[in-house]
Amino acid sequence: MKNLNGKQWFRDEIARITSKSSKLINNIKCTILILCSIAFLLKIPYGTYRFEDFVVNLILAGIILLSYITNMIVEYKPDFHLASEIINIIFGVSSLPLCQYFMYIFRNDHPENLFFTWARVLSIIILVLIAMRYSIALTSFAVALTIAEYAVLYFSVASVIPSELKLRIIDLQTSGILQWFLYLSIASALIILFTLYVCRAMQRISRATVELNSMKESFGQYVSHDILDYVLKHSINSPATEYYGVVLFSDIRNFTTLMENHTSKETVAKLNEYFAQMAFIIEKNGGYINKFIGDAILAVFTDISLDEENLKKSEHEKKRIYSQAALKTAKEMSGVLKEINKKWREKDETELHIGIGLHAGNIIMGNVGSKNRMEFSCLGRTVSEAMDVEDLTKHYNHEIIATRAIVKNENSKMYFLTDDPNVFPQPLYYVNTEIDE
Amino acid sequence: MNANELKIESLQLEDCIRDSIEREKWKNELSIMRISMFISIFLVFVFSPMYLFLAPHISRKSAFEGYLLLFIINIVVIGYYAVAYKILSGNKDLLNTFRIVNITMECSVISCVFYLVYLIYNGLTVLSGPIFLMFVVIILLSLFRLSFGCEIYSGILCAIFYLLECLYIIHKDGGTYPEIYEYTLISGTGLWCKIIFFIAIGIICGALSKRALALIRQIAIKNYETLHVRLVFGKYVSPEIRDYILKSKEAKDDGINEDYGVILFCDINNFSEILEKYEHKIVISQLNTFFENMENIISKNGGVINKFVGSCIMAVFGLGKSEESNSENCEAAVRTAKEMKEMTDSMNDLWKMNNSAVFDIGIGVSLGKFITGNIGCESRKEFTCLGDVVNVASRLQNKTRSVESAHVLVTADVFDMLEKHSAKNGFGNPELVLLKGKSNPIKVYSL
Repeated sequence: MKNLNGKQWFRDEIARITSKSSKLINNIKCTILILCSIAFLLKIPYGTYRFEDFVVNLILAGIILLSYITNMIVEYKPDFHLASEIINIIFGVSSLPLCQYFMYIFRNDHPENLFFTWARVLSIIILVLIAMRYSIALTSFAVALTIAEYAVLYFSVASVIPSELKLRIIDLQTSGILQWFLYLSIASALIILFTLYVCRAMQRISRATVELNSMKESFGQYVSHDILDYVLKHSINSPATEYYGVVLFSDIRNFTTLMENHTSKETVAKLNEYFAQMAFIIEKNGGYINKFIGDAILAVFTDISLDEENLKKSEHEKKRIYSQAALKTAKEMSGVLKEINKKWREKDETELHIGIGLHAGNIIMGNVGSKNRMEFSCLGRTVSEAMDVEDLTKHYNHEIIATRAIVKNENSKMYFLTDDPNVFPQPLYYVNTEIDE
Repeated sequence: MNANELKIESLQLEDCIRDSIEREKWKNELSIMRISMFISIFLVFVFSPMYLFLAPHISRKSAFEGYLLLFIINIVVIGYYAVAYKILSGNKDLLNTFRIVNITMECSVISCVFYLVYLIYNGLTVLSGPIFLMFVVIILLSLFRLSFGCEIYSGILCAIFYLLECLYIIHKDGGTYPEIYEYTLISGTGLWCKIIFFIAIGIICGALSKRALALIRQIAIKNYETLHVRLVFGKYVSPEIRDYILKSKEAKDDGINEDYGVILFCDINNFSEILEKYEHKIVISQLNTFFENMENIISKNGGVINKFVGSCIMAVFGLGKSEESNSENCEAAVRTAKEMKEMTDSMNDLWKMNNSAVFDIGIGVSLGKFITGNIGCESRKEFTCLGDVVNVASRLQNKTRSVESAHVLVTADVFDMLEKHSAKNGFGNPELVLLKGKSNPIKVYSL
């Protein structure tokens, strides 16, 4: 859905609708034609069923058969679609004049009957059915064909109509025949107008869809897709909820130096490359990026980004999942940054150094802010303490520092750093990224 | 937030869909009335004269009489449409009444014309002729009403009118037709098949217009969602920044700019303690009130909230303005800081009385160069301000935690920019402070 342009969507949508309605239209058409055949067959009990009736039945049966066959071919060969539509329109539109003409030829009397019968209404129904395909070109084609066929039909028999009758019935004169075409044209114009209207409606849908998608995309980029779903599903005013979770806070150590050494464009380009890699790692490991704060990333690992299966697990199990995921993320971030730095070093650009603080505890998450300005925020001591832990990475010169709350849920190798309550209320541990490599 | 957005917010999806379908139907009804009027005018001024006066075997007198009758009927019809159009375009609520009246009107008019043609010519002409196609046109016209009911109604009404008229004409003429037309026109398929086909066209067109209605519904849903997402988007990134983002996205602009302005950080210093001591639902609602008031003050003074980080507000003054307006921006920022403090104090008084938590806020203000732009990656972006000035403001804010009775700290740059004397009121003497992560102390003024 992402990179869809309007025109293509429109084409696809029309194709979808027509392929869906094609069968229905075909069935309606065939039902009508079968009813017509039955009307002719009803003559048998009265003994008036003649050879020409048989021919008409044959023609109708042939057209029904043809439309089913073309429909079947289209199912296997979608490319045949347009050709099948045109064939069906030609035969659908021609069926009535054809039948009428056969009746006339075989009966060899009353040419005026060609114009009297109810077959005219049927031709309008066939046009409406064709309009259901929502294609202006096809509808116009059908309309032109209908009018042309009746013109041919009329002029082929006009000379045979007795002049006495012509005087009596105005519609058998040329001016009357013109009326036929006039009414037929008004009706056809309305049908074409309606087709146009529907096409315009579909164009409006396509524009609206493109706009919606682009809006959603921007929203997702700026506020995250998880939150978009959350907000659209719940109300924006849903209350904040407390979750247990792990907070990962990372910051660039030497950002000011970077800004001094590079132009703003370069800085942002570098930063974006860094963010792209980091965001990928965090999202891959099931973290939710709450915010980029300047050069810092605030990510959380909680229920909000967990899938159905893991949501059912016990509290203890979830704590373990979050801690492991967060620690894995931190290690991968440090590892990936080393690679990026290596590339930058070769290009003689400023390297980036980061610090990552990990802390677990209760986080209050939800929409906070004013009526006009909302933010999906993570609040609570855990968050601010994670920022403090991150600050300490500079002081102790370790890239990743985690608190006791993390370590007790994690079995991997961690090194004790300090338990001085003046530094931090919990004992701190560090990850030796040098050795891990 | 403009009026339109406010309206959307209070609107439910169902209301919105109903609303736009009603509007669409209303617009279509007006178009139908225009088309009907056009057909009437065409009939009376172009077609009928041709039809009546060109026919060779009709006397001038009866043609003229016929035309006069037709003329009168059509003038009445055109007058009716003109009045109805005027009324309906002023009042949407009358739509359903007018729809029924219009359908009935259309059918009756065609019936009148039908009967008139019978009077001028003869029964055989109207029974065999193309006049009945006019009924079909009426049924097709109802397509645009986007309603299955209307379509069926016009189909059945046309069928009934046509049937009654034909039966009446056949009865009146009483067997004066040649026998060969007996089957095709009168007793057999001719009449009854036409009636059945009228109803069939009604049903098929009803299905068609129902489908068109589904499309209109889809448009309404999409539009509602777009507006809704747009609204929510504006709430999350502020409407100004939203428009900026959407505009720069269209222009394929990365939106990176260097800017010079004032950054203001405001945080609730004791928020973590409050959250632990008090019930968090109440605290969050307090926080929302706090944000609400702060937002008002900031936007009143011309600032833009860049983001809320937990309980912290980051605001920018002078976004996208030239450097000459700096003293103005500084004054606005300082004024904002003062007002924020005053507002918080008055809120605290109220909360104290209710035994709720009391917010202890700290504000840091700094002036300088920063980069604004959309920072992040494809999957996740943020509109941010980057730069040392941001860090300084943030650290200054942090400093208010440790410095007693200093709630607002501004850098010397900001203070020097203040031109009005009244703006400098309330500031003490400059102090040198060492900010976290900085090697040299900087001069700050506290309020």
